[in-house]
Amino acid sequence: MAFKLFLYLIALILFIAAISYSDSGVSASIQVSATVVQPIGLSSFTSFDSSNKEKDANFNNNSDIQFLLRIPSEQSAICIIETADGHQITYSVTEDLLPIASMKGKSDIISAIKQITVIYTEN
Amino acid sequence: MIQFVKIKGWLITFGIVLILLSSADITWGQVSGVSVVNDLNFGSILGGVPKKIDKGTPGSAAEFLVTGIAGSDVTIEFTLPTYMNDGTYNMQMIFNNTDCAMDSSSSPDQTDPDYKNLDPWDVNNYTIGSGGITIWLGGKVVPKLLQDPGDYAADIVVTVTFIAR
Repeated sequence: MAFKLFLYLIALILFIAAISYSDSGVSASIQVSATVVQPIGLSSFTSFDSSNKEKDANFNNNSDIQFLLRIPSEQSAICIIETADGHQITYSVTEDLLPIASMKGKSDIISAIKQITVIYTEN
Repeated sequence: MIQFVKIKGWLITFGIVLILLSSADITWGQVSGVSVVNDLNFGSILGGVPKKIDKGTPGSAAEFLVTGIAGSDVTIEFTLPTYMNDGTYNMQMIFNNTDCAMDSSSSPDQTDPDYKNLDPWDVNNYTIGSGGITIWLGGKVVPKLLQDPGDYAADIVVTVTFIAR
């Protein structure tokens, strides 16, 4: 009786193994990754208050500056970069979301940035 | 007792038949493996700025290779995440219905594959070619404006199953 039970178990294992083998697929796991970075100075712009039309950001580290402006669709903005020697560079921003404006590599500007001012206006 | 013998005989018979059929697959055609060539990498992103990686972007789009006997039919199924996580916070991901491409030629071309706009949410049927099947997958990440800085990650599982003829 024990031998028959043994045979029965072997048959059952063979059956399950066969079913499992014939139905199996192969799989692989792909890693998806991203690193969220905070642009220098962004925090100065994020607490946007429509009643306050002017936002300033002051920079201590001018070696690599990227900035992001998110502008409500009913508004536009003017971005003014003021250099240490008194010059002003003005960007007019009309898109709802300005792509990252990178000033990396523009050493003549970077080395002398004193202040960036963004003025929001109603369209 | 007779019933016990019948059950045992039935199990052994079908078990052997199934094993023979499975072994026969090896000669008829079969998928032998799937390997990851490149992970899907969005690189650095900024809060509030969605970023899309096109499936045709070498080095950034996910790429993997299915190997097996040429002529074998397989199904390819993705298990796609809807967000990435940095251990604390989530960041939304989107895969649209044209984010997958496949090429089974001997010299797969990521910029001009055999099948350009496949839906990764569907189960895709495909035939293994002489160079296997190369599959590319793009996607989009949508960080919140104040998305917490950090390294975000998720897993995409792809399952390839041989279709017996």
